[in-house]
Amino acid sequence: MDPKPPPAPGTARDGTRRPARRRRPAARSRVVAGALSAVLFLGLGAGMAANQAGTATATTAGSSATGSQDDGGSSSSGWAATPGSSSDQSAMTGSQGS
Amino acid sequence: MAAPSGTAELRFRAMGCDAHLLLVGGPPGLAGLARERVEELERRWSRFRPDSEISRLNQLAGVPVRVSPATLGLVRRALQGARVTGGRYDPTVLGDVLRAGYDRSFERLGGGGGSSALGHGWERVVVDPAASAVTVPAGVGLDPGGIGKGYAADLLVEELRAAGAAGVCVNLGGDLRADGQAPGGGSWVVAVGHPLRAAPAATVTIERGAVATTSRVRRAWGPAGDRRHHLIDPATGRPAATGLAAATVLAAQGWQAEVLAKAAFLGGPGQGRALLVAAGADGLLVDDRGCLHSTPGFGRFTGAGRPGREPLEVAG
Repeated sequence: MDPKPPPAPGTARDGTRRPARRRRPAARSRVVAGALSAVLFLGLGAGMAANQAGTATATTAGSSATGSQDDGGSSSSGWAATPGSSSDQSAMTGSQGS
Repeated sequence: MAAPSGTAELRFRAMGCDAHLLLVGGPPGLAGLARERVEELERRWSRFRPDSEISRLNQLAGVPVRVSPATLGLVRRALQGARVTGGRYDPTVLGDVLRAGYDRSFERLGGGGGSSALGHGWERVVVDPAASAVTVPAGVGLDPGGIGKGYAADLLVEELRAAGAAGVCVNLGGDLRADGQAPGGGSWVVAVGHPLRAAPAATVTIERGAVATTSRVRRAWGPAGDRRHHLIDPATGRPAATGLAAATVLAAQGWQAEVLAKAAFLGGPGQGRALLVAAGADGLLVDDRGCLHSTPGFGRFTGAGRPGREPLEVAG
């Protein structure tokens, strides 16, 4: 014998309609609070457009860059540059400042 | 001078300065993508564009504003820089900058002062990483300034390396970051400009890291007797007079070098050097007479005693 199909949403097993569940005032307050706390979105794109090799790495590289260095902490450890070796060939650019 | 074989080189204007990219290896077209990325970051961060994310943060001060990951990273670094330097680097001096008259792109500046009611308050800027949102307090103006160029160089180098480049150097108006193999297989050599003389103040060699120079000489305006520049002392709210003409800092990352260069400039010859040593970085300070003051470790970068390492070019 086939099992009895479940009642439609909002319908009791005897087929009568259930009264609509009323939202409690506290729940409404939470909804309002949630709407008020929603942040504005600039519409400039949360991620980087990814259609080419260099750009496709943007989000990933940006995320990795924000890993250990992006904690907003006050530590200044690991702030030293690494000197070059004396036997290297070199390219050249300049730091003149702005 | 032409770049060595296997190297792509690109120069263009961006972020109000001369940009210079050197790429070793990597897939074709990478230099063009790098330029697009710099321009995209400028659109996000320029305070001269009313639709930039930084401008929107200021327009909507007092309200949390969702921003891109890049901008969130920029603001977090700016705040970290302020903490590490005890507020000498202050990303909320926008009001002072505007009152000094720097209210439009430097090429279009007039000679007079401006007006603004904005005050400081980097300690009260709120970053919500979970929501990717930033709240600038009402009455405060956010102006990351040169850290945007330093951090942009960081992002570019890391992204281009991830995309396959064997070596990258990105120089945005004196904020440069280099990593990987230099053209020819060696380290990167950078000529540090002297603010008061034609010849470079020094030539430094780095295997990887960043170099940033900040100067009161180049970005200055106003009539003689009332010359102003963009390096604001947060303690006075006015262009700083510390006895220095320029500060160059070598650090691991571009944003760090920029923050420390600004803080060292504001500290003057003595406190500036001490600040750099405390931060674990090195640097060269040039005073108003043109004399050089370096940190004890700066000599590791200068290539003293290395024959045949003359700079090929001095940009700026």
